[in-house]
Amino acid sequence: MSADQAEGWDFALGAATGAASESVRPDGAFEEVFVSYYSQVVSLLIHVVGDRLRAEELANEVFWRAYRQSSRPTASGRLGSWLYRTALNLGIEDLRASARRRRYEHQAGQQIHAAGSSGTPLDGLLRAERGARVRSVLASLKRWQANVLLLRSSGLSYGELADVLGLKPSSVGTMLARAEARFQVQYLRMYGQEE
Amino acid sequence: MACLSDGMLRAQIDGELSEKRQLELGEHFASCADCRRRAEGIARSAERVARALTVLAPLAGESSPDARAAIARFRTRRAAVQGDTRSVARILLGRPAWMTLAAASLIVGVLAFTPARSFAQRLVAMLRVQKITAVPLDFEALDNPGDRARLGKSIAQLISEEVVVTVKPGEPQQVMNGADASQAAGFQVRLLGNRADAPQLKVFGEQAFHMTVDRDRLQSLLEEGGRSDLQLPYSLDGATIAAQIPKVVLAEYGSCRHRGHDALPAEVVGGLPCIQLVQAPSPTVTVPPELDLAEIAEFGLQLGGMSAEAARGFSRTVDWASTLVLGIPQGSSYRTVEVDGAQGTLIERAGRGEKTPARYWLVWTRGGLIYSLRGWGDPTDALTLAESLN
Repeated sequence: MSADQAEGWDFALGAATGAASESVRPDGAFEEVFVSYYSQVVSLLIHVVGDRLRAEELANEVFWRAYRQSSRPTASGRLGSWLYRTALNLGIEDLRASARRRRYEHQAGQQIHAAGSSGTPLDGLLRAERGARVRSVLASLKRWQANVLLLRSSGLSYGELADVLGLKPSSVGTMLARAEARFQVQYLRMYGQEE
Repeated sequence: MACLSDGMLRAQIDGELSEKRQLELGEHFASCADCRRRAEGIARSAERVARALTVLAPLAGESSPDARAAIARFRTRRAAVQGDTRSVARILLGRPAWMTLAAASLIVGVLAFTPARSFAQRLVAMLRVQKITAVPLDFEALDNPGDRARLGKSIAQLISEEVVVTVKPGEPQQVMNGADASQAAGFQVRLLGNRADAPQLKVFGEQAFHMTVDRDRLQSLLEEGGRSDLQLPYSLDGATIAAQIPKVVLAEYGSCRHRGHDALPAEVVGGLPCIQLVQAPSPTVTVPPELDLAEIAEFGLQLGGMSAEAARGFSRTVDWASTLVLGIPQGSSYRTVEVDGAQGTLIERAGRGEKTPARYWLVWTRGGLIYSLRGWGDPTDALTLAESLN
């Protein structure tokens, strides 16, 4: 069963009451937050899933979930952390869906080719292949390891990263070092060479 | 000073240590060859991984995400949920954007054109529901999901422009007991006899809408969405389709807390598992008599991932004027059961770990009413519960 289908069930079974929609207010403030964070959330999801359109679909789902949260955090900092965390969860679930993962190489290749802004088509294909490998390795890591690497790679500071993942800032360095070591071991195991 | 931890050495590379810590580290480095060697190893590892992950960043030439377009989509979705979608099908079938979907389904028999992922509850076609059947669909076989997403958005837009809502449901009414619910709903409401706890009861208002189909516009959207292999029946063009959705009663038992779209299992929220019982008279859909429902349904099944041959075969086995057809996703199973003196469909999904127990969904019709019972746990519970309806 794919994550999509599983979620379909969740949705089918859970959304019946309308209770969630009754707790979502105020709308104006939420839309301001939406505009403030949308680009960042999409950018993070592009890191994770590699496909721009899919990243935007997932981002829409992230904001929708935030909107439907009955106890939605209102302070922008807390909401930002929540958005990042939910985006990571959805993105990594998506990445782990094996059928979809198999399509990434093909899709990424098409995207690079279509973008035409990154050198020759061969450059694009090589980049797509490297991206697919890196994402496959991330999908095989423990969730916290992939989270730490993706957030850091997206440019979050240790403080921001700790906030998103609910860690002490002083433990970020340790987790990052461990995740990096694991990434290299796993890459070598899966592809027989270092990146 | 004790030797430096890997975490400190790693933070130092990123300039994330306080000034004081940085000074201490420098002093310690001067006298600790082992720490210097470890720091070099950690730096090499960090550099390699950072280089590998640069490939994940968007390309330099890519445009920024369009937040305005996204918020427009968000508003459309919100409006659908807050307004018209307090409908029978949202309650029965659980999809907030159901009305949009239902309208489209009725028009083109579409199953899988949306980026939405809740196929279990997807409606194929409905006129006046007298029985319910299920069909397994292989959505993995669908084409590029990007195309599907674009197609879904386009059709949703089309429908939002052309559907005319004639009766709005208003706010749901909370009632105290079954007698009040029966009075508010206009039909005899039944409750679970084997539950000692009182349910939370809500009555959702009646609603109605209609639209006239522009076949060529829909066909062009299909082609833009990458499904030029499918041709909409010409009989659809100019057809006016109207739907009238009666009042719906929802009874919730147990600890029904929701997170986002999801009703949470008792393993997460505690208390008794949430059970949702929904009952309503069948919606009524009016279509022109010359409309070939089987042909439209066949088209919808193909769009849902079924082969042309299989769609034709299935379509011929169904009386589309009286049957509600549910698409069942892979990973869920279903069976026909005897329930409440009638034939029902029991859809099941196995549990996935401690926090996600098995789920069930039992749907049946009796005496002109549609019943839906959903919950967590052993699917046979659904039958026991249904048999206790008073």
